[in-house]
Order: sequence, then C-alpha cells, then structure tokens
Amino acid sequence: MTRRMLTRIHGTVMTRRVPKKIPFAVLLLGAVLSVGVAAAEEAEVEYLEGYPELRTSGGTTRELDFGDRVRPGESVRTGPHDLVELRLPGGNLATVHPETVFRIDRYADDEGEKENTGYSNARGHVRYRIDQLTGREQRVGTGTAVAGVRGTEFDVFAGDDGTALFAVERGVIAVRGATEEVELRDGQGVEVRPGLEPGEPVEVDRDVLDFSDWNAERTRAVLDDPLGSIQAVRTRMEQLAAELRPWEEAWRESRERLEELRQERRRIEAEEGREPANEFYREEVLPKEVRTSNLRLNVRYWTLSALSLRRHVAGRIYVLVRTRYITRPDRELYRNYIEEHERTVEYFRDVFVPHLSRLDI
Amino acid sequence: MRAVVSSLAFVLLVVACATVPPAQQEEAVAETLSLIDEADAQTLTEASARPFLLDGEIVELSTDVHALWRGLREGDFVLGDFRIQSVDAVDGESYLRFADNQEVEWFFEQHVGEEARLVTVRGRAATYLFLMDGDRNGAPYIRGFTGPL
Repeated sequence: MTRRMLTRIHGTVMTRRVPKKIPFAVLLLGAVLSVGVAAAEEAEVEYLEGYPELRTSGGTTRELDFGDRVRPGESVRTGPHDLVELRLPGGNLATVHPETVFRIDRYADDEGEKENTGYSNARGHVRYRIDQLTGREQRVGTGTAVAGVRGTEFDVFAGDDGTALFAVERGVIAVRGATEEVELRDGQGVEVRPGLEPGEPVEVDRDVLDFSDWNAERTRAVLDDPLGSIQAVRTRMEQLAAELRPWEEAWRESRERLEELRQERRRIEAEEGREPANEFYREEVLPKEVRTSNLRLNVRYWTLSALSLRRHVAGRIYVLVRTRYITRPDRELYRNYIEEHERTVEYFRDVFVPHLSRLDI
Repeated sequence: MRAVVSSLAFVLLVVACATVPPAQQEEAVAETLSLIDEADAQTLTEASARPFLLDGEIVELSTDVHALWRGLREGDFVLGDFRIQSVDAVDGESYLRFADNQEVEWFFEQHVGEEARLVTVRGRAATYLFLMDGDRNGAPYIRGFTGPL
C-alpha cells in the first residue's frame, strides 16, 4: 500500500507518494538515451510525484509506483504535475519532468552481435546525470538526434514539433544529426529540428532555461506553419526508414539462412544420428539464431522509434491543427496540411506498420 | 397477485437499468455529451477514456487529450442543442467509420469493449460520431470523436 501525503512546493499543492521501505526512489523521464551496456538493463523508480504511468510491452498502462522497474520495451508517461526519478544502470540518473514520454529500448550494435539498452524521450524534458560509464561511450538522443556522452550532466528537451534541445551543465556531449556532429561543453546547448542537422552551439543559461516557455514556442511554430511542421516529421520518418532498411534486409536474409540450417540439422539427425546433429546445432544453428534475433531487435528498434515519432509528434501536431480548424476546414493552409499528414500516415503504414503488432497500439 | 407482479416488474426494471452499460443508455450518453459545450478542457479530459481516437489518430497522453478539447474550444466548436440520431453496437467494421487503416482496426480490437457504442449526434451545425465506452459514475466516457460526417 502506498502512502500519500500532500506537499506544498513553490506554492503549489502536489500529491507526493512516499515509499514504504524503499530508501530512495528513482523515476525515468522522457528523452532518448542510449547506454552502451552488454545486456538488457532495467531502470528503477527511486522517487516520484503525482500519478505517472507505465506502459508495458504488452500494451497495458498502469500507475507507476516506487520501486517499480522499467524494462526495455516499456515507457514512462508523466502528466502536467508528475515527476519521476529513475536509477539507470551504472548508478546513473534520469529525471523525467512533466508531460514527457520516456522509453527504454534494446538494440544490437552495428555488427548485430551485442545487445545494448537505449533511452529516449519523444516529448518533454529529461535530465540525465551520467557519472559512471559502463565500458564504452554512452549515447544519448531524441527522436531527432543522438549524442555521445563522456560523463556529464545535461538536459534533453523534445518539443511539440519534434525539435530537440540539448543543454549541457557540465561535461562534454557530441550531438549528431543525420550526418553532422557538434560538440557541446559546459554551459552550451544546441537545437536540432526534425530531419535537419544540429544548429550552431549557443551559450545556455540553465537558470533561465524553462521547458514550458521553450515548448510554447515550438507549439506556436506548429500553429504558424503546420505544413512545414508535418513535412519536417515526414523527412525524419524517411531518415528512420533509411536506418531500418539495411537491418530489415539483413534480418530477412538471416532468417532464410537460419531455416536452411535447421533443415540441414534435421537431415544430419536423420542420416547420421543425434550427436552430429547436436554438434551442428551448437556450431552453426545457434550462432545464426542469436544473430537473427539481434537483427530483429534492430528492426523493432527503428520501427518503434518511428511509431514514437508518429504517435507523439505527428499525432500532437494533428490534434493541435485539426481541432483549431474544425469549423474552417476549407482554409488552404489546413487543406495543405491535411494532405501532407495523410501522405505521412500512408508512408508510415507502408514502411513501419508491417513490423508492428496489435500490442504496440 | 397483481401487487406481486407489479413488484416483480419494478425489480426487473431496476435490475435492468443497473446492468445496462452507460454507453447504451441514451440519457447517460447525453449527460456526457452535454459536457462538451458546458465544461472546461480539464473536466472533458477527465470524461475521456485513453487511448482516445480522433479520426485516425490514436491519442495516448492526457496532455494531448487536454489539448484536443482546448483546441476545439479555440476552434469555435460548439455542439449546440443536439439530438442523438443513433446508438450502434461496435462490430468488426466499426473502425472504418473513423479511418480505414490497420492502426485504427487494432485500436478497436485492443481498447474498445463489446459494451461500447457508436453514437451519431446531430448538433447545431453538423453531425458527428462519438465512441462512448466505460462507466464514469453512471455515465460513459468519450473514447473517440470524428466528424463532421
């Protein structure tokens, strides 16, 4: 049973849940962070305020609680008055601020050999404190960009239009767009628009940096130029498709080869006996099974990245624009937006939906 | 004997009302729909089930549902004096009334119960379709919205 108490913070009455016997509480926030670790890792909720939700990989949603573990394939969603602190692998921390979608995913390395765990926020604000590296460079990002991390404290914002803002308090991160990279040091920040490369690094005063104000600008940008906003999302979706395709092809080939190897194993068992068949399995079939599984992991990773973009950025833009033009559907600005939105949905349907299941919805 | 029959009929009526899901009771549906013009975005968010369906878009977050109702208000949307034209059961084809795509078909399979109803409503300016589902103190939640039809 969770105890609750009312706490007044900055003049606002907030509901704070107090853990029973958990000495400290951690919650995850919503930005994309990829941490290079060898095995699937979980995050633990150390602290929370309000009523954040956990969406499981089985497609169900429930209230998050102290001590809960957030596993790969799951996401944390915070409302306007929620906050979650999560203890990440290696003792690192992620703080998920209000109105954020934070997700943990697994993916394989470029060779499709080793599994890693990644964190991402499609919307909202996540603050990371990475003190301990886990054996290799740690990668952080949003749906729009990723960054290499070398021991640092920084914020990742993801706005209503999909724009990402990285702001470093201390340490160094390298933010990468589709092809270009910029390095950020203490007190620097950079914005990355969907589908574009990072802008020039700027000095960021973290004392005055406020996600609500920054995101209000992003919302205004959507309403001022809905067509440009959805076109940018479409461009980013095409970039994600370009990431997906090599893995998709490699996975299909690996799956076909795996089936051939399995048939060969059955032939060996029938003609030569169980022992040679088992040896063939250990040496040939098993490694191919592992590789096929890892390739499939990356197909899912890029597909779920696209789903997140479609649901939390394209969907947000649709809600903002469609409702404001519901009594003025003949406006040219709106008609142009709707046509591009429909093209984007069709593109998503053709490229990514074949890799989704009902449980993802 | 007549008293017994009357009592029995009364009991059956009470039991029937108590067991009919709110989405299938026109008065309860009208009670929820009346909030659209009368209530603020926060109240409407609380009267909405999630995930919510706006046309072919699945809206998962409460902040987005809130933005939906606030946006409709800012877009001068008014239902006005409305009339419920029909209350239809949900079937395997219902998703097509919102959008013809796999995501929306899965949405219905995954999140819409058998007790949900598709409610066609004639408002002051146009006709809209609402998906009503669940039980919120005797009235249904709004789980989906599309239109004008």
